[in-house]
Amino acid sequence: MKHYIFPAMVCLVLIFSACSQSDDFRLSSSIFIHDDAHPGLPIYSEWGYNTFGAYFDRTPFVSDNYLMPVKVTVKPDTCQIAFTGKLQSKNEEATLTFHLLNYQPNNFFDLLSLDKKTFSLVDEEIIVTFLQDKKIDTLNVMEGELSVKRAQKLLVDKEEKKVVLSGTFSMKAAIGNEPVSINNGRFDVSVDNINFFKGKN
Amino acid sequence: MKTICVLLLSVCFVSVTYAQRKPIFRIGAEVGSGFVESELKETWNIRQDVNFYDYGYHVNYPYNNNSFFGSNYTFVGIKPQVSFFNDRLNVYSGVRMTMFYGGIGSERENSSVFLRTNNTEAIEYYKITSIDEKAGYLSIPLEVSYNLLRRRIFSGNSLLAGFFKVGAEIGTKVYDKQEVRFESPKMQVHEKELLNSINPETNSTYATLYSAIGAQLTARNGRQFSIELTFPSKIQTNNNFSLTTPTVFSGFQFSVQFPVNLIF
Repeated sequence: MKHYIFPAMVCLVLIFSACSQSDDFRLSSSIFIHDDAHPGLPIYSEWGYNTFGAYFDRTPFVSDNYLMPVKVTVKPDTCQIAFTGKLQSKNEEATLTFHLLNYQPNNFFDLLSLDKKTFSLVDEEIIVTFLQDKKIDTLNVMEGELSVKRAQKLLVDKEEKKVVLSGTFSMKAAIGNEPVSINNGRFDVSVDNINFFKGKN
Repeated sequence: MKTICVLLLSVCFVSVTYAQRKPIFRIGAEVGSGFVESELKETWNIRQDVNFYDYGYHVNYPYNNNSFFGSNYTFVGIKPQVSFFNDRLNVYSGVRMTMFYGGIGSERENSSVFLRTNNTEAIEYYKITSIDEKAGYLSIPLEVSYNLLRRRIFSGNSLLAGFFKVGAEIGTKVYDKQEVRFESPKMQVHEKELLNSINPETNSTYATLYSAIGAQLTARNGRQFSIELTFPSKIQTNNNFSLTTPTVFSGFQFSVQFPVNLIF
């Protein structure tokens, strides 16, 4: 009998952990509901639908079902919020990153402090970069803002699971010497231990 | 409403005009069932599985689109009948009890859907396996049928007829219950809190207009057996159900009528 207890316990742990992975997997999936007013972009939502989108001039840059839509990386002096998706015209993977200087969340629940915060993208406290085709460009932003309209907890059966960041962004900037208008940007993304990275100080 | 008034006036005119002919009275019972085509109300915020629409982005994703959603009804009633013109024109009324059943949930065993509450402080989901609603309406129907095709069968002892019917009913809600089943049994204590937060209030008054075609067999002793199919019809009142917004209903009805000798 004693020989079977440990394997049985291992099986039980695997079974129950499989159940919780199923919920996490479902809540991490993307639900892309098209915005009729802005073809190619998802609607603005505050449900944790794990989508984002914006027009680069007239080209949609949107999340998809395979790339992690957002990753939050905390470095010694910066918090990076990186949106990874595809530019529809070239079907190429690209990443738009907002670097918030002097913002140091300890864990993903600390991101709740971004609730109802608006950042002017011409401020020195925030830098915007764009990664495409393995080349990173720092955007020379002429005007624009990033607005986190809601930062809220996501609970399932009374248990805190994630933080959902929902908001908008737009800017006029230059990538290299090329002016670009990034407009009608919206995001509704969830963050938890899977996509929150904090290095050792 | 105008249609109902015209219908009633027509019935009265015909009755008065042909008062010299003795109408035939019958009393009987009816039973029927059908489905209700409906849409989930927006007050029930289900994540992903139900009312999830896309242009081919996530169809058949393993954990999406696995929820059932349906609505149907059954009814029983007592049905007095007056027949004119040798059973060609029939007027029915009575009392009818209709039970509507609606439900949403997950078809996959041991699976669930995420139902969001109206909590404004956070995105709060409960994992539920199903939401069911039962609503009961007690109504008074008024129906008029006209036999179009008649034929003697069984050596002339019985009369088989095809008929067309129009009807209306008005009633009131006598029963309404919603049940939420949570995937985790220990969350079941939150059922009342969840229902109160969504607060699905409904309209107690219920009215329908409908039409049907059917077949009627009148035996030599005056007993009648009828079966009919209801054309897709609309519930005339709004907000009768907390879970769904019905668009059309359709179904079948079976009734049996016994002649009654009344002395005037």
